[in-house]
Amino acid sequence: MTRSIRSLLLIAASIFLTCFFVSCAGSTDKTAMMPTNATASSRTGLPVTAIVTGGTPRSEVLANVTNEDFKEALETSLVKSGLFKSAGSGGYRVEAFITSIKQPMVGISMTVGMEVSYVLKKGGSTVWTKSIKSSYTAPMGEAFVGAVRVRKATEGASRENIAELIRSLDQKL
Amino acid sequence: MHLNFLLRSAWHAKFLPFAAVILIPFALNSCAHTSDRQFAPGYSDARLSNLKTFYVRNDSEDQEDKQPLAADLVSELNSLGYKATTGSSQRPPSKVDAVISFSDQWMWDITMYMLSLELQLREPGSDTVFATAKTVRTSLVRKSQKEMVRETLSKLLKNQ
Repeated sequence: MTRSIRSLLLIAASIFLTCFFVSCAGSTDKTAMMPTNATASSRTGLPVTAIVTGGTPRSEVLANVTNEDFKEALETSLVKSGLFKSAGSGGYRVEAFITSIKQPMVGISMTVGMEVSYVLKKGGSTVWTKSIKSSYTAPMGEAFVGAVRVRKATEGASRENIAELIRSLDQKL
Repeated sequence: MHLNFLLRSAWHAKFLPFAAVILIPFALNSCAHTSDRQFAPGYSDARLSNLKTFYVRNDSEDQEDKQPLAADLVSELNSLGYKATTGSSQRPPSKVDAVISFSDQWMWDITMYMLSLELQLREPGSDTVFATAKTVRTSLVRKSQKEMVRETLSKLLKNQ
């Protein structure tokens, strides 16, 4: 009986350690990708619409960022910052291309790096372009399961990226 | 009753914990091969047809380690009929049609192998990315660095 309990404990330990270290997360949450304190002093008074490519399909396993979620996070954050009046056509257009998301496979503190190329257009002509790199580290305290830490780090990197975009646009517009 | 059965089974299978330790990572790491290409909004194959000269930028933190990979990229581009140079400076030293940046990820499974190779095509002036290609090959379908370079470049430039 003691040996069987020891066997079960070892199995439980192996599952536990695998969950702890291996990154295998669900898709990111759009609201968690929106920066909370990104406000701008510039005001265009015009609406903004976003077009996003480079994202990956929603997954129950991987911490993917979908085009639709990033678009919504981007438009909502840009409007909330005060730079643009509302989300919609007839004003500016932000084209975002998610070019890379680097996620760790194992680790204790999980750092995710992200790069997004942005093009700002008005009336069909390009006003501004910039490629923004961001990263975010989710420490052990943020989530116990490795998979969740990867998701949180990915959401954090997206949040930082959008916040940096708002800071850059605030200087440009 | 079910619990008793499980406990007895576990007691008899003395190697079960060890098997679990080995099998769980296998179950989580599937045998996968993907190779895909993506464009920035407003870009398409038409932009790629004008590309003749490239600058392969090796500006990673471990430049020396990445030099063979940069050299393989230049060599493969040359063999495809393009003109290519490599260097570590952010901006290309001479006029080129596009900058190629890259990132690779390696894993260990008996030996080291390239898990993924990601290439980005950038506008030389603004440095914005307009196309990317990524190849992922897990251990069981692994390929050499040169073959990964060939596969990913073909995907990026010719969509094969």
